[in-house]
Amino acid sequence: MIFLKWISRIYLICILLFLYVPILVMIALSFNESQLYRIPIEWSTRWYEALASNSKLHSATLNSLTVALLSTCLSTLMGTAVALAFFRHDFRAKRLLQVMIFPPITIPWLIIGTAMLVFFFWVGIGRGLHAMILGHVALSLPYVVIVVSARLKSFDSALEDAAKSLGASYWQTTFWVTVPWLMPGIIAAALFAFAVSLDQFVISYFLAAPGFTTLPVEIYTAIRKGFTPEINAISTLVIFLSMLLLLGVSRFYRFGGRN
Amino acid sequence: MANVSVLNLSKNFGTTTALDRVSFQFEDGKFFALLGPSGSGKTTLLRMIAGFESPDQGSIHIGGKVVDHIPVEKRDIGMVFQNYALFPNMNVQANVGFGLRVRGISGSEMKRLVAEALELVRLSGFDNRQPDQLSGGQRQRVALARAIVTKPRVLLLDEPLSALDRTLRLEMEIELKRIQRDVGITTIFVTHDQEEALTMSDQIGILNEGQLVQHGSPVDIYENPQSVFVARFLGEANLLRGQADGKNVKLEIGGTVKTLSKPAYPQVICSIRPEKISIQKEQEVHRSNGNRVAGRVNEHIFNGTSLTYLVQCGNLVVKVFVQNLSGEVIPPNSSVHLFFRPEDTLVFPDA
Repeated sequence: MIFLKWISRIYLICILLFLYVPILVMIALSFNESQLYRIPIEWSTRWYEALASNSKLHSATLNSLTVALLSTCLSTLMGTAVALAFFRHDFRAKRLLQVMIFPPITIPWLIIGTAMLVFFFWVGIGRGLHAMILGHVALSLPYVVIVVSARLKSFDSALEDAAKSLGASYWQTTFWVTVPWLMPGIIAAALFAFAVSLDQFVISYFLAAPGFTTLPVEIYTAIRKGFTPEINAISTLVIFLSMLLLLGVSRFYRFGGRN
Repeated sequence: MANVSVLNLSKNFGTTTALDRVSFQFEDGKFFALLGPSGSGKTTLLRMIAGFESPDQGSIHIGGKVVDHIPVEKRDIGMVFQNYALFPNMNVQANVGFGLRVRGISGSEMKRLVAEALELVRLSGFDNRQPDQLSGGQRQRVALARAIVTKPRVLLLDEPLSALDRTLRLEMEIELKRIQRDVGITTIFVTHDQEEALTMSDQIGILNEGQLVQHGSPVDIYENPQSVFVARFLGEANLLRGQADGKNVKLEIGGTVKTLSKPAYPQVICSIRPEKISIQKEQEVHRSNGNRVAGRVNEHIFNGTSLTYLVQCGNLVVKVFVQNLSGEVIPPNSSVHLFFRPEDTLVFPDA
């Protein structure tokens, strides 16, 4: 048994190394004075200082946050409504609809992005901020539906009955009883949606108007021009933001197993 | 406060019949129990009166007005649910005040009414507790206060005591009855517990397979069940098969008995309540009138105030309840005679 225990420990350590070593290396290098990745590392914050004066990165960051914020609001609102509809009502083709919500998760982004680009041009939406928001909403919607539905699974529908029996209208029941109860799920879903949007590259790349870039797109462009440790620095910041979001989600949502 | 009447209500769920042409009049201010085994349609009937289900046929009147097309929230009802359904995100005060808030009553008026309701259920001072800080009995009281604080016309209770343990349940039965009497509200109570129905209600309606098979006062139904089902479901009954000759019944376990009504069928079942039977040792028998059956004591259960005998009569075990008058116990294997009056011997056709 002790042998098995050690095996599983080593296995766990391997997985963690596999996941985090590249990230840790990048973080370390972002603090390295040398541009050529010379070792030993000489401590420096010059790449972070360089970030401060990089206006392109600033506007890209602002764009990313704008898109993420707006698309998160929309997809959280819509996704929660969808989850509630699935919970409250039985209707024909419900199963089919439930399945049809999820393609954005399973179909490669490249294909969805191409399809959206073609479609948006065809119907006259074109490219731009609005198109990007639409695209991000479509991508994050399934995550919202999944997370909110998971929370709804343990909701006692007798609470809605009780509210109605006390004279509460449909909207009063929804906003005074159901939504407050769902709140942890809704917050987790919103953080999820925000993270999905923030990290999104392909869709943003396809749907952005010329001259309008988001952070991932900007990073990609910068790498193509020539790699600088500045990219390490900005990536490190993005990683910390993502981790923070994830921590936020885990506060409200159980990732498998029990807390 | 209001009369409630249901007329010819029918409801099918797919191929199963939940209710089959049920008509009933719930009088103003009375306490009614809807009693039946699970699947008998009692909960469906209650949920229909509340407005959660709509009937396939028939109609419902509250206070003399048809409510068939009025949604739950406009029916002016109070309801207590099986698991209380207290709002977990609100404290006791907000829970009880919910119905008032919905009606636009807030501030000091709301607080006053909530305090009144909490006093009625003897939970004064619990305003700021959260539902998960309350015991089962306290949650029940909060649910009740919440349901009556708006002074609804009807109070609907869906097996509200089933989640409580026995001692608490007996205590709540008395409380519930007291509160109902104080408020004077028409109350409809769904239960599968016959004891609850007997002790609490003014009127009992018994449902079986979607039909209202009998209704009346507890005493009336207990003493005059109209079918074997009712005799067995409400209280205990010894059921003895026999053949009738138009006047008397010849029992399968031996002996000929007279019955309350003339047996109109050749194959019958006689029903006798265990407490209507008296038991005597064979050698001490001194009675000769009334119905008599011979048997042998299998065992006895001593209860202090009473005794239960299980008496083997032919291939049947007959239950006898005896008040502990003499302190004497008839030992097992004694030969005994059981006596019961013809008036207590009910006769039903053997289906």
